[in-house]
Amino acid sequence: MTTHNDDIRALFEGSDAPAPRAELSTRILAEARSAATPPAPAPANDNARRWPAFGAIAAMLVAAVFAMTTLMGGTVDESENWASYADASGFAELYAWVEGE
Amino acid sequence: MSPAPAISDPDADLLPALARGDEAALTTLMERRLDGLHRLCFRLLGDTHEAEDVCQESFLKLWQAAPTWQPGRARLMTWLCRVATNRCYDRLRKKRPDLPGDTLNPADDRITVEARLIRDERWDALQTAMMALKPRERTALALCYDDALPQKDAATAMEITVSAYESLLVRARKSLRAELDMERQSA
Repeated sequence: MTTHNDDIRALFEGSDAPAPRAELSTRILAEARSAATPPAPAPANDNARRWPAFGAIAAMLVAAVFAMTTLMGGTVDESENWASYADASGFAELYAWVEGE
Repeated sequence: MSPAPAISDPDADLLPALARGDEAALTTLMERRLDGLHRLCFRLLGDTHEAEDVCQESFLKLWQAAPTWQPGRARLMTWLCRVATNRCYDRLRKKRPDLPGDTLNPADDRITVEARLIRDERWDALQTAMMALKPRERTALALCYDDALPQKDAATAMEITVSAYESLLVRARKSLRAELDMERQSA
């Protein structure tokens, strides 16, 4: 088998794959050096990272309060509107009975 | 008595220093192994600059993995070949027609005349035939003949069993011969 494949072996031995450029080792070393640099330690009291979180929570609270106020306000206005429509159309008693008053 | 390491590694002498982050050890490892790894990558990619990039990525990965390296599990060169091979496959999947070295099939009619000229300058008959093979066949041949890894190590580098590697090698030799014959006939 080995003899049978000697032609391929000879082909590979006779084929010159290009060598890497000389500066490749230097490039790898430089990259390795920067990769080995430990990351900067985090500050003991990392307030800079906490404030944005508080900001986000506060913004969500404001949005929730606004939404609740709008929703509740809308409900009040709507029921008042329906009551006035009922008064105008003569169905005030029926409306009051349906709405449980 | 502690058990003997499962695999003896010719680069084992560098492991403790590599684990400590000793650049001299990395330099020595590159002196020993960079050319071989580059040859493997060139055989797979057909482009020397891309092969250099893959070598850089592979050595950096080893540098970062060195502190947690478990001696006896794999030889350094086998591990490097495995990482480099996978990186080469990733690059081959992202086919870029602007680089002649990246073309998977040199016989493809779509490649430009200019690209073909550049390719012919870079590639000899063997490399031209190699680039017409499937990437895994190329890898099997390069590991066997260029890097001359033992079959077990070559199989490990390709993440297949030894018998699967042997079968792949048989098919790869057959394909290579067929491609070389086609080249001779068309010349």
